Amino acid sequence: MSGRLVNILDGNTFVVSDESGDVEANLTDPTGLFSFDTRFLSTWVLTVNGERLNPLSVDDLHYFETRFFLVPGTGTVYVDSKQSITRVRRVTAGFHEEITIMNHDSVPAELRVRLEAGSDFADLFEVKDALAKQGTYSARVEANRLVLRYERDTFWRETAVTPDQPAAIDEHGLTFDVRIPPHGSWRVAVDVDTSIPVLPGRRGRSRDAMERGLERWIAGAPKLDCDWEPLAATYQRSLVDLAALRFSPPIAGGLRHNLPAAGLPWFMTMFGRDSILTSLQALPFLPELAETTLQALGDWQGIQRDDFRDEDPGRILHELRYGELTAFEERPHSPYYGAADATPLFVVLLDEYERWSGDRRLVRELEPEARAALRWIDEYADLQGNGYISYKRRNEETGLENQCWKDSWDSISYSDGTLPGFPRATCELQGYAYDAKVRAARMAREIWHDPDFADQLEREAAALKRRFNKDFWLDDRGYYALALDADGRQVDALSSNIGHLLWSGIVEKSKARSIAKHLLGPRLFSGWGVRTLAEGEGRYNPVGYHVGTVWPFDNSFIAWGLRRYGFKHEAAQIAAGILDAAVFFDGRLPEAFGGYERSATKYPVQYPTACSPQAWSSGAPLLLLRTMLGLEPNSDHLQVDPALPVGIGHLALLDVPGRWGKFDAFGRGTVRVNGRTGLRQQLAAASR
Amino acid sequence: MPAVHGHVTQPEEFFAGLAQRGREPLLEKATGVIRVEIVGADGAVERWIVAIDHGDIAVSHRNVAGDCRLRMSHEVFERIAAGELSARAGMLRGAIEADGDWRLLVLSQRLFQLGEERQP
Repeated sequence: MSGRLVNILDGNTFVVSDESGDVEANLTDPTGLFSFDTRFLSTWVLTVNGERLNPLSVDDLHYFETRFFLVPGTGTVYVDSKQSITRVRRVTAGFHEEITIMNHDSVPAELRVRLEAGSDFADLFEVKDALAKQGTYSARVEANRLVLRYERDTFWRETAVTPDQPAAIDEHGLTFDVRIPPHGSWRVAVDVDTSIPVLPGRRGRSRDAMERGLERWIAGAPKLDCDWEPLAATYQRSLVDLAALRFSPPIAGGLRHNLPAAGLPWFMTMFGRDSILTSLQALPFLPELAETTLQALGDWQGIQRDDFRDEDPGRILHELRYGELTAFEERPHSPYYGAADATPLFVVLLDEYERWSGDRRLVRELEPEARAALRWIDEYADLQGNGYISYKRRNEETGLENQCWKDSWDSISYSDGTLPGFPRATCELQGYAYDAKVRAARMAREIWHDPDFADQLEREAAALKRRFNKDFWLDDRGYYALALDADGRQVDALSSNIGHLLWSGIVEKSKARSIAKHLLGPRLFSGWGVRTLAEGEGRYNPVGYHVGTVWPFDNSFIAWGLRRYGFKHEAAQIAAGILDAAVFFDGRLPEAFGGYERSATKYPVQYPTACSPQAWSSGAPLLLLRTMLGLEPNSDHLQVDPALPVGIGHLALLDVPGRWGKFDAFGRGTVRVNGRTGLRQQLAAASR
Repeated sequence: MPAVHGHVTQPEEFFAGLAQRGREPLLEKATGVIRVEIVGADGAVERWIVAIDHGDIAVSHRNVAGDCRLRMSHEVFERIAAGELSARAGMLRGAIEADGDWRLLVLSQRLFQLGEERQP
């Protein structure tokens, strides 16, 4: 499908169409109506008198609603049309679409309106990997509705298409023969409902309820006041996108609140890593995400050894799926546990959540889960018996090779570009383990009333830090190795992972300046942000998924790390680059963008198949606001220590929620006057 | 596909094992009544009621609605009890009908995993 794609979504139901509102998906296109990882419509085409319609404009009314303005005919020369058509589409448990045809002529119009409907019921994994189906399809016409069905053994999914006007219905769609008086109009509303047997009675919310829900969500978040206008737009966009990605999966426990789905189109489900990191980014703004994420991930914590799912006792899940391949255990996502970072990060989030919210109840409630997670670090994750977390999949067929956030096949390499064997102990995992132990020690001492356990954790953390700074440090280059390989040898590529080490606190003070210099140096810093892999490394590629692109989420945690070690201005420089980039994406940061030098391209080059919106990219501006203002909970107070990039003169965040109630944070910075006019004012450009 | 275990567990054995267990720390967060319906080849329905109170497990045949309900064939039960099929995959596949309190359903899947672990 060519041209711009239009998305609407609500939680894990979404519709991707062309600018006419039509869908004509082939197997590998991620277009159509999707819900719970299954495509429920792959064909949805509107014609009038056999003609396709031309888009005049598309209004994105809300994240869950779009309006298409169309005229008949597909000619290249525009001729005044006698009719115009609008389609207003809103996501429900499927979608609701209202089609209105206006007759602008002085004579009646006799029209045949046709809606072609079909579904391949593809599992999202089949779309991603272009796999063939094994079940059977059928279609049946019932009293004024068309039902499309797919079944395989006891598994079935159905799509029902129901118009509110009489229609001639066949197995491939609906036909309306209409007569519209001069200057009159005709309308029909069509409901597309999706049925999943194990999730009966899913209903979409009404339009009003969705609008009110969004208003409440925005109203509950702190207000931003800033003299650099693009930031307000980016902030608003982030809040709305996080609302759109909210997800209350019934099979994940029917909890009180929502947790973030990871991102459109491939990752509209619960991910351990993504949900935790997004919740961390959003803590000062939308703390309820953290609460739900912790509870849901706790309920799904691994309790046994299961090689197919790479499950261990205490391990936090990686990914939970609902589609056909998962149902038939042709994929292990029920759930799949192959992440080496989610488990220590679960403990990190629990502590950070309490430091902000003061919610000791949840820390007490999740004590068994936190202890099981800590046991996993020591007993199950230390595959080499050397005291480090490492990973090697036990599901060789469909498990993940790289179980860190850079999970593509070539993400972990030596400087010369060769790939290490398994197990691999990437550096940031050790940082997370250290942080988890330090934070758990605080919880053990203050909340679980177990000072012996606290002492033990602190001893272990200190020992880990000492060993790590010896074993991972590349003395001649002044940075930490990306990983240790199966022989304990250093995987020596320079990567953004060293920024996560600052965030974790595992970096010895004497080494921090050298790390900061590398992060902001020419090999890693593109001007927009820190590249995943440094220029000059064997596998560096500015449009390589994890080997040279810039990831906004990655940068937000690097900025947090820089702040932790006192590098305020360096953190502000990263914030400036990423926030500048956001302006080029209308405030919606993609998953990743190209690692090209800023001065060479002038604008950030979007990575070709990047997911958008993506939860942790939407969360990045929130965490950058936190780092720019230097927000830090300090017992019952919120500490503020601003360091703003040049170009922001004034930044206020009002009503920051936390254990202090609500608190206003203010920052002042410098603005260069008499700058060149006529250019979009960019932050990092001003300071470079 | 997941590993296949050898032992065939009958419902009586499985639920007796649960009852014997008495208390399960992994179910401390669970409180509620799970109704398990096992449909035999002849269509007869065997009913088991598992009441969990903060990890304390009691098993009976009482006829109560329960906070959540799982319904499956005898064959599917055997496969789940043997660890051949995960309860959640069974639900997604439509081999298990499930309704009621979803948090309890999620936690109740641990009953089956524990059942598997109990085997020698």
